[in-house]
Amino acid sequence: MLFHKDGFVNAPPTAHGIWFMSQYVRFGYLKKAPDYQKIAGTLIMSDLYKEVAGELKLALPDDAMQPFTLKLDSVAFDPADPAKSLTHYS
Amino acid sequence: MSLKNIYCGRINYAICIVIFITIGHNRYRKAQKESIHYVCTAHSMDNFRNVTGCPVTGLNPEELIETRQLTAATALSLLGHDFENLPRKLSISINGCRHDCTEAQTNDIGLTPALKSIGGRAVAGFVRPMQVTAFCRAILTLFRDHGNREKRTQARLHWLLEEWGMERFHAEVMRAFGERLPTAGQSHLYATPDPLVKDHIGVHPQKQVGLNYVGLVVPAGRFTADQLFALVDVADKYSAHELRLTNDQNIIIPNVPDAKVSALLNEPLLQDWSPTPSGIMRGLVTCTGKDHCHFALNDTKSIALEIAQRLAQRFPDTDKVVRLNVSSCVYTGVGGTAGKELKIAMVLNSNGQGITLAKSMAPTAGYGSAAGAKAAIDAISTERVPSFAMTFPGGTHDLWLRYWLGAAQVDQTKVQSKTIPPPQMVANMKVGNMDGYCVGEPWNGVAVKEDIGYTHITTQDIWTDHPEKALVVNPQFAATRRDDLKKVMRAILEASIWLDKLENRQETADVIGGAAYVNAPADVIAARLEGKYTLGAVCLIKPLPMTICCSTRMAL
Repeated sequence: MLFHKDGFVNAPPTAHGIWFMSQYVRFGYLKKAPDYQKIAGTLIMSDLYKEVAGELKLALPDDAMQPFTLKLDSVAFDPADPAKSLTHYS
Repeated sequence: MSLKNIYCGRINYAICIVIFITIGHNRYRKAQKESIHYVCTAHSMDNFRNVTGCPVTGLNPEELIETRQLTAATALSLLGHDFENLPRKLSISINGCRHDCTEAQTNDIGLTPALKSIGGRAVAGFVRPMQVTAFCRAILTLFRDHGNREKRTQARLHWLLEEWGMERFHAEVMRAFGERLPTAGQSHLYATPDPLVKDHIGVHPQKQVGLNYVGLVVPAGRFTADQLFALVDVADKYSAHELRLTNDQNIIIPNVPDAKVSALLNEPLLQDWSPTPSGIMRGLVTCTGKDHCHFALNDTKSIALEIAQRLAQRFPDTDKVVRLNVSSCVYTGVGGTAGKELKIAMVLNSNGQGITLAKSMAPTAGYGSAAGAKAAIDAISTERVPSFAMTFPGGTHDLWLRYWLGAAQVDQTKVQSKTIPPPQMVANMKVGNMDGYCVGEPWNGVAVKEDIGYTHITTQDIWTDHPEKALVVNPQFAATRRDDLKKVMRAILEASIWLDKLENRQETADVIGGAAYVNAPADVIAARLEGKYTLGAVCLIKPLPMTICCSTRMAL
């Protein structure tokens, strides 16, 4: 278990928020696709975290919307296009 | 003394039982002065909960409608076979208190005071006192006959309301009730109730001239048998043999004559249970805790009391109420009802969860093999529905479990998913309640140690360095307490940096392993925290497959 890892653990990435919502769609918790960007933007307090991390002079990972791949099934997930990413799960 | 009149709120159901049993058996029955009949029906099953009302009804001068008879009559009318198997529990509050002291909005049916030139809530219109019982029965009948019985997470009354929509629900209630109700009246609730009045703590004059009710704060809502006897003596001496219990787990002594108030305030019991406590102690409410509730994860009351006592020393002010709610229930939380918006301030940790499978699956499923897992689950499916537990629907463990099933190409509609609190996973597995589970550590490690199951896969092998727990706050706190939130975040970041150092993890395990916290063997916690995984079932798995090629591994 990791708790910090130079700040990579603690910064709340928008991309991960979108991943969770996409899985809610995939598994039927959400009946239709949400406005991913809008909800992530509303709920994740990225600016506040940046402010606190800045004050403590901690490294701040790039909140990039780059695709990432999960180890278990090697499926790539593109947070910029969650709908298309969902078609990759067979 | 004849202690006939005890009114208790739903939350105090257990207290009420204690009072009846203690007084009934130990004291009065022995003395043979009076026999107290205590009947317990339909307790904590899927049925209606104790009907609540204002604890000072009939005493409070500004109350709009006295509800004592209404709550009693409604509760009695609902007892029996008609409503003892509802789709899910249902709570009712019938309250004439203008401070909404029973929090009507948190109930399935909440009746609040209103006036109309001829209400309840806008759902069904204006209900007159004489109609209350029939009105509640009508809604319960609809809920019983049409509520969702397939998914427990969608079996509460509000889901039926969502399914039908307001218009149909309204029409169905009218039909079941047999009469058209007028539209809602004008609410007589205070828009912003005074917290120092709403909880009915302190000395207050009653509408009966010369009498007072005295509300006492019971710290964390827990008391001993000795305190209970002292309370009965106090009620004997100062009031008309009557006690009332509040929704906030406190006690009210009604009908204290003016001349006796100052003597009452000097009673030793009132030094512990104060009518003028610090704002922190006054606003403290906790869940039952794991001593008496098998859904609780911690000894909530002791922890809450310690926090409140320390805070009360620093902030002894008595002129305000500080709300401090402490819950370790897996089914509720500080966030409020489902669907409420919460803000994510930061992530607390990565990795460290896992999926445990029954040892009988080990020869086929192996370690971390998707194909193996599918074969093992398919084998179970030929005889019965495979069953897996996680900690909360929609939570991370639910998603890791589903993601794993998805990767293994298992049809999730053919697999049963159940919710079990983390500390009870191992015990449930032991008695064969499920074939596997997904949970945070140390509960996968404990299954290995007790030889109940084995660790099939860790979540770092599902998604390396995935986000797990988060610091989440309600939007109001985020907006109005920004500086306080930043302080909390700074403190957590300092702790995170300390925790991330491997040399600190044994000390961490020793602290959190104690009974008040995780309550699990420190050696198991330490091993998993340090990334030293003993996976279990080593003799059963040959040859060792795929990604994890040994029965122990290092995986932070």
